[in-house]
Amino acid sequence: MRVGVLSAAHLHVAAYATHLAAFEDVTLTGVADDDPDRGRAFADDFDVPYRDADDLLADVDAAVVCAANADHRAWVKRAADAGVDVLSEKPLATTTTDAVAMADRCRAAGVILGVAMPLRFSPPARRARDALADLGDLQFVVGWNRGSIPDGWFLDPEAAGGGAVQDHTVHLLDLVRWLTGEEVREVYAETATGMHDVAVEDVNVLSMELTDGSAFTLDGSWSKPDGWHTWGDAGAELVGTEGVVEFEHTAPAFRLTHDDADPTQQTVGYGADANERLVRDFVDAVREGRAPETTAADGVREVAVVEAAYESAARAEPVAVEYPEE
Amino acid sequence: MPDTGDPPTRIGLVGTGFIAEAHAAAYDAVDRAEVVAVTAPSGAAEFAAGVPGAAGYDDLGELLAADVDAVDVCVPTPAHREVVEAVPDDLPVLCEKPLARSLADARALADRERLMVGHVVRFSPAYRRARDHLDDAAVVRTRRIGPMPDWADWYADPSRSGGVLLDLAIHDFDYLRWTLGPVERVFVRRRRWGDGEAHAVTTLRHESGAVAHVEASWAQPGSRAFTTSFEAAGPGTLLEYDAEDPTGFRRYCEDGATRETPAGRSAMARQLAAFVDWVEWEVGEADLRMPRRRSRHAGGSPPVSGAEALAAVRVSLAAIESAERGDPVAPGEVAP
Repeated sequence: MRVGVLSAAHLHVAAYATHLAAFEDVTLTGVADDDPDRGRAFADDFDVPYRDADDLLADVDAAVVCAANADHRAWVKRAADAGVDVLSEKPLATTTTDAVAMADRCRAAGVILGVAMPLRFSPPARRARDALADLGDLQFVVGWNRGSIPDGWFLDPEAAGGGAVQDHTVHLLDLVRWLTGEEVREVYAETATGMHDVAVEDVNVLSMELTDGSAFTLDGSWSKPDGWHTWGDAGAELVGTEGVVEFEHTAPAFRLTHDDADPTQQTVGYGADANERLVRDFVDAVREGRAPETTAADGVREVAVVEAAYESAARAEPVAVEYPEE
Repeated sequence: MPDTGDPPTRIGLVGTGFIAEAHAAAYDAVDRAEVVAVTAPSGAAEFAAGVPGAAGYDDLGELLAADVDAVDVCVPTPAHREVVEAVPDDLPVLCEKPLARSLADARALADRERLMVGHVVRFSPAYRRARDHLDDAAVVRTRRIGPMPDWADWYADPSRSGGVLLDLAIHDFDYLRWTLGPVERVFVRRRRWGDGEAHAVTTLRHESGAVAHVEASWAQPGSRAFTTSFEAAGPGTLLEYDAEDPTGFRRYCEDGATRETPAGRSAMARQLAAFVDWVEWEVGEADLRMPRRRSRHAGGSPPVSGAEALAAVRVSLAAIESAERGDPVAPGEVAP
């Protein structure tokens, strides 16, 4: 299978490209980018051609969009127009309007549209899913997905569509939707810019209600300092009438201290690589003509929750999520 | 502290339940105090039999007549006001948290000069030391979770205990107010089921702009022992404390496992020592040759005042109202 990279803007592009290049049944065919310098640098790093977008799209079966959030729509449209199945970085889009347009365009073109949500492939999360039956009726989910602040376009309100709420809500939200089968009915958001000198929010604390009446709270702040021992965390506590489950995606890890390294202390994960499994699932979905693990419909609903969160933060009131009709 | 030769401060303990036992045990670690009197509607004599040097009394009047230097109130929350008000004004009182069940009762007690309220988390070595590093905290997470208290039935009745938001979360509400300043508004998600099981997360916005989320749970299964944790992030800073990890002491025997992190005297013992220090100050410097007597001399203010405790009750009551209304509520909005 021939797979291309559309935009190297996102910091995850290296991980996806590494895995794609390693799959025996995949040829990483090239990269197209609206930033030629960035695209060429990526091409050098991965020893693939930097190509014109239309040229690349005519030559691949599938593509991975790693553009800035606000640019996902344009790239996905180009892929759909070329009949190419596509995996988009998250969030699917910065507005529900864009997300719906993307889903509609891909459906009309008969191409697969997936959204990059690696946590569904996390071994601790999968174990939690298996244990849910032991918990009785779910009452409360307390979730967390903190990270250190990214840079570049992530901090540009236009390109990113916001800060920590835009960047660090949908991962845990997608996971909780997957674990429970429920949707978010209402969201109350407290946000702030409290830790960095930036134009977007870095504090993201959401208090939600799910469609089964259970509560779901989420801390998705950019609250890990740069010197923290790993990239962040992602987990949740699920409280039911009969039991409690708690999981942490980053837990399979050991600490390594090396005076000659920078940083001297790091955390080395030893769990199954969720990014690898994500990309593998997408490739298999393309091969088998099936939906990937996280679909466009999932992506659209998650964008709607993020929009409601921003509205809530502005009004300091709980806001009911408005989902577009499907 | 060196032994000055002063006679120990004579403590009259009101109550014989779970927390009264914890107080009585912790006074062992406070050199300059002893529990000399215990009262409760029933069981005072039996309780006192387990406290060397203590006598049991049938009612508060008899306990007061036993010439105590200070009174330690460990009765259920709804009875706090009645008991504290029955103690003469000039006798220092330690009253367990929360100060009261209602705003009216809390306000009635808050102006009492010689009142300290038992917000024991302020004396936890970890929480106390953490305050040195929290000046710029922007987002804070606290957890206080465990099984439903099963040693008394009044906890399960929210009209008596105030539920998890007044009885449990107030520890963190008080600590956060003390540390991050006044609270502007709270928003709560709370779920309750079964025989009083409850799980709540309160999102607080402080006037400083700091955001905190406080998890309080009486919904853990019995297999998960009570535990707390605390994290605070600020510019370039992150403080992480978890009572469970690491542990400084573990014991594994056939009768079960114990995991703790001993840090010197317990928070409870430190709190009671602070109470006794304040009582000694309040009562005036003891003269070796003079019998101790109550004094109207105004000493230092208590380590945790009625006014502070009232402010914490306001936050809890605002949280309860938010849980019921589904809207954010300001502490100042709570109706008396």
